[in-house]
Amino acid sequence: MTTPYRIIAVILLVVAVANLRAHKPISSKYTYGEDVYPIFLEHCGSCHSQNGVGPMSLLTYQDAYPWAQSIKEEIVNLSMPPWPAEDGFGVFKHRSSLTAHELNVLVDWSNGGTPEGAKLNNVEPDSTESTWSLGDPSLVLEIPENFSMGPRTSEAVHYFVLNGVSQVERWVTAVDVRPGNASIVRSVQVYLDTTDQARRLDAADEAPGFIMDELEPSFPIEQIIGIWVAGQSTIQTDAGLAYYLPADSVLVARIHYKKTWLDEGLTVEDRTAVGIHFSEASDLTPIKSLTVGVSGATDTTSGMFVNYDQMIDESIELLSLIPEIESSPLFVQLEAILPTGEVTPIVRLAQPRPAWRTRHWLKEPMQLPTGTRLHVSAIYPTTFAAENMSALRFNMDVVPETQINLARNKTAFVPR
Amino acid sequence: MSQQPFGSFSRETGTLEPWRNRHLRVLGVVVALCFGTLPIAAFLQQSPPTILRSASEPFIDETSLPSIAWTCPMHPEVHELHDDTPCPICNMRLVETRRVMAWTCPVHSVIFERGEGVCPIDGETLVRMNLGLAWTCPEHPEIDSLDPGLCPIDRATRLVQRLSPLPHEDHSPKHGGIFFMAPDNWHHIEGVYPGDGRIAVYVYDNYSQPISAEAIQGRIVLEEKYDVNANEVREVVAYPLAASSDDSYLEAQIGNHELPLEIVAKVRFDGDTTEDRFDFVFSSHGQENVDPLSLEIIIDIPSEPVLDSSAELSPSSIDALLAVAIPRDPESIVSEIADRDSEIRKLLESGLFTEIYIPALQAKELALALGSHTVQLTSDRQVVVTLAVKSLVRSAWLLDWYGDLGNRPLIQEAYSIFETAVNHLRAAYEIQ
Repeated sequence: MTTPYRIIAVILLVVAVANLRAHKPISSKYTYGEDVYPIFLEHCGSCHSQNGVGPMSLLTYQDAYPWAQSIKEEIVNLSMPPWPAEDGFGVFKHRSSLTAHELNVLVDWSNGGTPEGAKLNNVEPDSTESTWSLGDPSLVLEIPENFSMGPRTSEAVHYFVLNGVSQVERWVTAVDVRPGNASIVRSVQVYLDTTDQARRLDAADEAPGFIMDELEPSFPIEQIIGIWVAGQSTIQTDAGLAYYLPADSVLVARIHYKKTWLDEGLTVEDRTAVGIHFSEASDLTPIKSLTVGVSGATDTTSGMFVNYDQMIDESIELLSLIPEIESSPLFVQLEAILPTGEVTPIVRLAQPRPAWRTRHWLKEPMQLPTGTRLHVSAIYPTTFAAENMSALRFNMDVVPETQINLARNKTAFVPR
Repeated sequence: MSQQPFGSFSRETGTLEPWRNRHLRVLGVVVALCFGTLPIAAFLQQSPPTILRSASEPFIDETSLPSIAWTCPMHPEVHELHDDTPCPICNMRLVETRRVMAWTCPVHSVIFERGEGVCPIDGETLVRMNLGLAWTCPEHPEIDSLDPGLCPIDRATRLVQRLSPLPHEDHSPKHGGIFFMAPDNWHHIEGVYPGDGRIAVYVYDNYSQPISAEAIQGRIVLEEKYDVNANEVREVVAYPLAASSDDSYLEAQIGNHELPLEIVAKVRFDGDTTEDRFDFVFSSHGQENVDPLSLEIIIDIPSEPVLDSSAELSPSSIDALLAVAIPRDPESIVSEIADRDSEIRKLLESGLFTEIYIPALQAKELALALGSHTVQLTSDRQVVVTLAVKSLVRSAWLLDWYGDLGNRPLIQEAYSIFETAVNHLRAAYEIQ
């Protein structure tokens, strides 16, 4: 190009760019085939697949790209994927949130023309295949009757007593779930009720199962032996560890049903089954519960920030934790401040939502010696009123060190 | 699927394929650069994929087709009923086209209906989209016909309808004012302060076509105050927006004020239940009645092509605008990010919201480059940097999105996330 033309070209480029400054016609360098599909498969495909609980599949280009604007909004608003554990803060056995790079790829692609790239010849998994993820369970308990959601109901939480657990004591290593209707079963929590209250509530309610006010539960809901969430893999306890189930236990399943827009206006039915894996080993160590956090407005609440410390008075191994967060913080995090002063990150949750509550299994058990402080901190939006502060707790699965030693030395059967 | 609205895309009735004509796009960039015209922005945007309907379930009844019209190969928003004049924008010869309308959800474009209605996913009012209608062979997408019939290659298969959403997102002001997009991704708004004591507000659809002001309500707010006790923002000085005599725009008499003037337009479109907020900062008086075409800078077109038509699309002018050199050491990267942070703060203070995306997306690229340097940090700083990088990337995209909407509270919310992330990076790398 001769010099005069080069100058003109530069002028024209500047003119064109000046005209462009009102918006950004970025054409994404990321394509579905090379960059986007692997992320969808890893983080979204367990729900957003053919007949999955998600309202659309993301595992084919044709299914995914019309949702580009929605995908972008869900991701930058941290609504999806719904696993709020921040990548880089604690290490877990199951999926955590997107990495910075993954988030950037998905938003850039959604925002920049959704290029397809190389055609994929992938075979999309069919979520309707009903298989137990950990193999056949020791015991399968169906909810007693079909549960029906009428055309005007979009969302429901229902409790079902699971009959016929065991007349003798048992040790539970995993709780798996086979949803009867995979498109509406969002989550299942299985509680151990030793008070018989749940059975009485069920008898008093003519319809299948029962409902209750979750802010004032009518039966104790502290002992959670299993949580299943659509899209999350089922985790088995480490060897030698199990949840103890006394003889003649009553198990209660809390099922969260939610229709997608595809089912709106329809009557849909469900008969979910819970699969329980028992261990027959004789030297098992029982997993115990430890709760840290606050249950309502306290003097630890000051405007946007909540800080809470709890000292542990015996050495423990931390296995997993269930966030119980009923308010709407921007962030919640749990750290361990060891007696040496060293700070160890446990989990950080970005905009956690109660509907997606799950058990976070640590990749490796964490040793927390006596005198460790568990530090909960949360940040709320500036508009948050302190009096609306509700549960901000972590229900942790732990094993006291003394019991670990007892079990490993095989000195005796460990009493409950 | 019985609840799926008629005409929705489904895998039983249709397939979808991307727009393939990259060469045409490259040529478009070259031509648009040569002409320096406003709608280049629309052209650079990758065209959305087209929608293919099966022959058994066509979108349009083939016994009563829409009439042939004419459009510009470079400016699809041009729609003429005759071809006796060239493109009013670039002077190219017009080509034949057929146009149809469909209605879709503002966010969920999978919904695709023949008439007005409500989105079955989120209840939002469906918005109109303009489509180019053509026919192609199911197995030979290179075939492009303006009429139904048999595939000319195998002479047996029936041609199927191909619907092409027209390019949009031309965010250029038409009256010398400030231009924003509404959160529904459909309506667009331009505010002008011509200097005669009034604010004029023009409303457009997604194709930059003016919309009648008759069904639009709103007001201009000059002063707001935060009520601590009620935990809400209250309007102190506000003026109603009224439709002009010909319903072509809205206006409010606010009197004469010194520049720069900050105002908020609160507008409710076409019976929407929610009111949208647009924050305008006027630093000069717009030329309200300016002809948009006269805004072009006329330069003689050289007899030789400025750029070779084989030139690569990338780096395009917009890529060049967003390109950023990544320094080798992490401290310099963080310093560069801090510079972008300062730029964003200045743009925010000046009300130049639609330009914030440039430093924001540049900072995002810089932050992503920090990923390969974290191993040099102590473990606690690695955690800080990992979290801050993700937070910065997310907030950069939020700034990009909210900047287009011109909503200052949302932009400030996103900026506070961005600023916190930058501060964490500075602390981790001990950058003052």
